[in-house]
Amino acid sequence: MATERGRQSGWNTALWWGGGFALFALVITLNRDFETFLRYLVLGLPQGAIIALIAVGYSMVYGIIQLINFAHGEVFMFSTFFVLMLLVPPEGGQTMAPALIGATVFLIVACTVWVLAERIPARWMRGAVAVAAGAAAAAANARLMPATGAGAAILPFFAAYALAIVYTCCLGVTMDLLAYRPLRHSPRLIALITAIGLSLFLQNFAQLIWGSSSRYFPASVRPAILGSQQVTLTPALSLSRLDLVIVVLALALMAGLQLFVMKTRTGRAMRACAQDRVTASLMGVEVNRVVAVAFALGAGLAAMVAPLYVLRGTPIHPQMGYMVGILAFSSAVLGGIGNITGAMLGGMVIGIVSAFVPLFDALDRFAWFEAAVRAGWITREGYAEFVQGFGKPGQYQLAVAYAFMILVIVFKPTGLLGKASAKRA
Amino acid sequence: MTNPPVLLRLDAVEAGYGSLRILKGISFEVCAGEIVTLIGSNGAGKTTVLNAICGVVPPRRGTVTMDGHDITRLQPHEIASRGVVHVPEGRKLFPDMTVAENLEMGAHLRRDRAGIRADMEKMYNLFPILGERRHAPAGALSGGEQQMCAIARGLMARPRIMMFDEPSLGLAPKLVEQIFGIIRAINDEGTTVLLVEQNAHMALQLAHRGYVIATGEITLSGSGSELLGNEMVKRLYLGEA
Repeated sequence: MATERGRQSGWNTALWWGGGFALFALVITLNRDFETFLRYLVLGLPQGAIIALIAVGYSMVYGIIQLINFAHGEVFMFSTFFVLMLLVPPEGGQTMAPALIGATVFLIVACTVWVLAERIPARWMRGAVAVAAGAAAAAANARLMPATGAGAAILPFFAAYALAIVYTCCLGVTMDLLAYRPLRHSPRLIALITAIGLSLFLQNFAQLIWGSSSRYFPASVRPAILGSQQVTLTPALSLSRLDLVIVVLALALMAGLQLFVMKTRTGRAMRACAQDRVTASLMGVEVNRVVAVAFALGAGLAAMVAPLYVLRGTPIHPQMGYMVGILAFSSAVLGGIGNITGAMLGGMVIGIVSAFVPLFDALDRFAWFEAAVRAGWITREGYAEFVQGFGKPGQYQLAVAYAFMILVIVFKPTGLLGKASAKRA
Repeated sequence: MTNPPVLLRLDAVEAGYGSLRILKGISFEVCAGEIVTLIGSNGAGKTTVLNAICGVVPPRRGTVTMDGHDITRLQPHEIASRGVVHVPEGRKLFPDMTVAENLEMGAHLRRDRAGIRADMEKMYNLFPILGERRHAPAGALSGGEQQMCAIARGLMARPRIMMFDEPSLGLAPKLVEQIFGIIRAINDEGTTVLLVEQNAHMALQLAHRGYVIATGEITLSGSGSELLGNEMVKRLYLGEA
């Protein structure tokens, strides 16, 4: 019975949201034209896809260990730096960089191998294997990085991209092993504060290695398929190749993730842990391993979109993960924290909502604006004065996104797909 | 008369939560093929005994041996991999997963796909209601169905010893009888059973041997029928004058 009602309310929710969006589409169409609506929608898709894939990382970890991993944004940031370090030689002042990078690669690979090598019973042997793997990885990495000064990139873009994804997965596993696993049985607040501390540490560590200036991928390494040439969908509707790749990749990743979680043995164990960790361990599930998989997967998904995000024109710098992280975290909350599908949905919604905000820059070109002026409700002078005082509405992209999230949370505190936690009992 | 080999042995096990010491040196053994029951009043530590065995509440002192191997310090998942299966109090199903997925979780440590599928069919034959509702979320089952699902999930691991914690809790008398019948059938197929029950009467009738536990210590032991006839047991746990 409970499920029947649940299904019913699910349909109702979908109906309300679909209806609301259709109404919005209608309003835009009546005021401007349908193509304008589509154009902004298409702008929102890659943005939403990126946020969605980052949001999944928050939700997946939260679902299992009820921890908001505030350092997830920093993982995203690190993954862009990993790509950068494999493609661009360190800048003149960064004499420490090669040593610090070497130490980082050593640590993350050693920790990951330590987690993976649980089959080796003797601790010293497991440690030795981990240290050897870390040292080998650090040595190999030093050879793969372009030399200080004006060295040329050794790896092609996609190889650097792939290696950075691996490094980022290792970083996620390492974070869990060193920072969160020792606190698994402490109060949740302690782990939360640790997460905030880790986030600050990673920001500052990145700054120590790579400096605080904004960087971009040099145009010379950018592959043609990720270019900014427009792909025409309809005569009036086009998007860049890069955005098309982002949307297609994100959809594939989301589908893949759903399949993984719903169909595989590890995915099933993950869902079991999210519902009841102790009982899952009684079934023979090694909870620490499942948590490590969640961290690796979340980090990997963030790393898959991070370089594409940068190619869209956002600079790489140590604080870049902060804003993106908060936005993705908000999306995860909007979708119902702990729910992976919800995080994807929340990210898409936030991305699309914020993409539509700049449309209102041209409010004075709206049909209803004309009507209101003719009716004498507003004057063009008054509107111009308003814009002068408060700026164009398009500046409020983030504010609108957050306001939208807050509005949803007020009416549905568990998020779009979240369930009341009391039902767990 | 030769006794069957001891499968599970607890030796002076102490365990508790925080500063709370609940088990104060528990020793007992379960032989292969037996049904052994632990009876005792609320708060005596029966559940803690099972949790100490399966590693959820690691013992502070003493040893737990399974098949002669020390499992005291192992993690729950390692203990599970040695064939110790716990059907916890309150069923503890995964409520958002379907019945079928819950059974698959029970077989998490097994890799023989064909065998798992065959065992699932076996469970659906043993518990037809689970077969009918295999695609329903476990949280939507009734109490009795949930208990059956929890037992079936435990069986999916092909346990060597199956521990039941209050399987009759909150069930109608008719269902309780059915559950006890199932436990006997499981034992008849060769699985060793350790049963914790408040319903001492039924548990002692079913069990080969029993232990009485009070305030964290074993106070009495004997065969099921011996304990059923014991004056103290009658007075304290069977509610007879």
